[in-house]
Amino acid sequence: MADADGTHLPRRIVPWPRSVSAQAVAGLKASAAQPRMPMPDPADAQGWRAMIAQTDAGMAVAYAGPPDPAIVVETQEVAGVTVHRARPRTLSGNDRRLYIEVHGGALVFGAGDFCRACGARDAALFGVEVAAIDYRMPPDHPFPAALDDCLAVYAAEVAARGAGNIIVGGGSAGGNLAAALMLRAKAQGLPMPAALVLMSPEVDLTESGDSFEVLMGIDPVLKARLTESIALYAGGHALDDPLLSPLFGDLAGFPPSFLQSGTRDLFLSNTVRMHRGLLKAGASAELHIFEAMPHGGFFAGPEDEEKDRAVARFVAAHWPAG
Amino acid sequence: MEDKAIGRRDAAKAIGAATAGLAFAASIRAQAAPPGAGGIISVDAQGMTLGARTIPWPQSVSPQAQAALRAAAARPVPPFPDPAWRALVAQADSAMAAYIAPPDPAMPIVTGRLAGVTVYRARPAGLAAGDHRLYLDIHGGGLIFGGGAFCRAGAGREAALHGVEALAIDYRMPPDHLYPAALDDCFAVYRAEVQRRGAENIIVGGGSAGGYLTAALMLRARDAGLPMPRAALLMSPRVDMTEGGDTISTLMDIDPVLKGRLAATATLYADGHDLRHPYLSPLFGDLRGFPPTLLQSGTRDLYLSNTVRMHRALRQAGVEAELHVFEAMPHGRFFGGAPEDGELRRFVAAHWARAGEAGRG
Repeated sequence: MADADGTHLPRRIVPWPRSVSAQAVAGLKASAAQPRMPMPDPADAQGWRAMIAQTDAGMAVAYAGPPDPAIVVETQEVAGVTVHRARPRTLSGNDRRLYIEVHGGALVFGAGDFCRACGARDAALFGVEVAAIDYRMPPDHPFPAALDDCLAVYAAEVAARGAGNIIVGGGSAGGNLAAALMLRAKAQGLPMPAALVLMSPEVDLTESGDSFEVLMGIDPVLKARLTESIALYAGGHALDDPLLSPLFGDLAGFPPSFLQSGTRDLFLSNTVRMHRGLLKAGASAELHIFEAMPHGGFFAGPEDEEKDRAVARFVAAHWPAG
Repeated sequence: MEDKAIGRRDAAKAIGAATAGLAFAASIRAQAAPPGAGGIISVDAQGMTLGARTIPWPQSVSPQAQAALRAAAARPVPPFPDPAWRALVAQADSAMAAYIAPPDPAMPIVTGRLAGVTVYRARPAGLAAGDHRLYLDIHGGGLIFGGGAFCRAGAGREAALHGVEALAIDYRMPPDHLYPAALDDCFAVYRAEVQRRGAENIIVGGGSAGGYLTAALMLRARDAGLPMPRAALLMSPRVDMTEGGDTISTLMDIDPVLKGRLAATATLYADGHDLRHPYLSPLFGDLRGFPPTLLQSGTRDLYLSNTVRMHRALRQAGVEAELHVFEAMPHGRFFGGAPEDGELRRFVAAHWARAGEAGRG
């Protein structure tokens, strides 16, 4: 079974879990039935533009849904960056709290409608104002454009309302940028936000974690390594640079952090290594792993709702008192 | 009686079958695809069919941790002769003796009886006489192994680790003593120590089967009206005797330590009782009122699902519970010597220190 190369596994059947809701199993099946999309070559800019347009249209349909009448969303420019600002209608005018949402999408997808929908969703979930950063992406804007945009918005909001009134969060690629933003902000002498939320974060662009092997084929959402989109984003920069792979950065001084993953998530190793890295650096960090959950969640069912509630509880507990 | 005996024999046969299955898997490994292959071949109502593949040793952990994984994978699966449970226990216990540290003259371990149960007590030299803190250690070993010398060594290890008095419970086990004997013994010792020093001075912890007994003890103590200890530690706990978690499937053959299901020992231990009863599978119990709890697992641990489900259930019940999952770690950690174990020591110590503040003096 095992030798110097590793552990040899025969062809096998991984059964659907019995330990989650019927909706969650249906979500896993639906994700697994989606064909794996071949990624264009990193040098093929036209191919990427077509792929991005197609994927973004699909994401907008899948996630955006009808507008929430309880939330007002305005698209504006902050420090030269497009930001979707979402605010619950019932919020008091002098409530200065802000959740900065850094959207996911493999560092190439998810701009526009998806980003805007994430902002509205967070505003409803957290009950505060949300700034969803529509950061620039490849193929036209590789690293560090996205990070520059996140830093510009963060710096402007810190100046406007104080870092203590800000919580920053992101999932997947958004988790990469949210964590890298902390490193950039620290280097610039900017204060840290009140808290940080990292949902299955893509914090290691070298993809060196064990779950990239162990859970390959078991995560029905992330069906392959993200080699091509990572190369496109990095634009020739070293992948182990902490601004590209914040897992390898100096995490001392990070704000209290919430980290989420699932036992079928290809980014499980990313998440648990970041959790340990934060604890080792003396930061306060709490880890939440959900049974049989793939990258991003089941996209249905009570487990996703429990995940939302867990994040909402953490966020609510980290706003300044009073 | 006869039915039970047959059940036990079937259980032993099932373990034998699982071993044969592993041999079969090994025999077809010549067909294994090169590393990187093995994605989803097909999806149907049963599950996802994955191609043959090789999971390389992780480069993301220390060389010591990698060596521990290789060593565990190389260890043969012990044979499970039917019905020779005693021979199996003796064999496994002598194998486990390899993990017992040599006796430390600075940490004498005293064997005694408490509430009718054999216990091993270790107290670090130099501890103030008025220090009443106690770490109650409930050993692992599949509910049938790990008594005697392994359990005894646990007292010394925990006392050295936490710098407090430690008491290891040598609870009774199958095949001679079936459920609820082990839980009865843990309960009797806990009650005696609560009466002696107060629950606020006690932290209870255990790994694997010991994690099951630790969690079941909390339920039993609460139901009996006893106060909860200061905190509990559940290391890769076997809290679901039905083995219903997803990682029992997804990480099968990837965890080099737990090489198969343990359904046979569950059947043996349960003695016909419902495996879903909370005293057998605490995951399904009402967890309200549990003390602050630390849970530990690894990304290669067959009991990762047990651990994360227990963590979520505790939090849903309003309990302060923190989860620590280690990169590429199998069931039972890396068996000492790896930097990852150092991290584990630090957070266990930190948790104890925090919890111990109010309990001292």
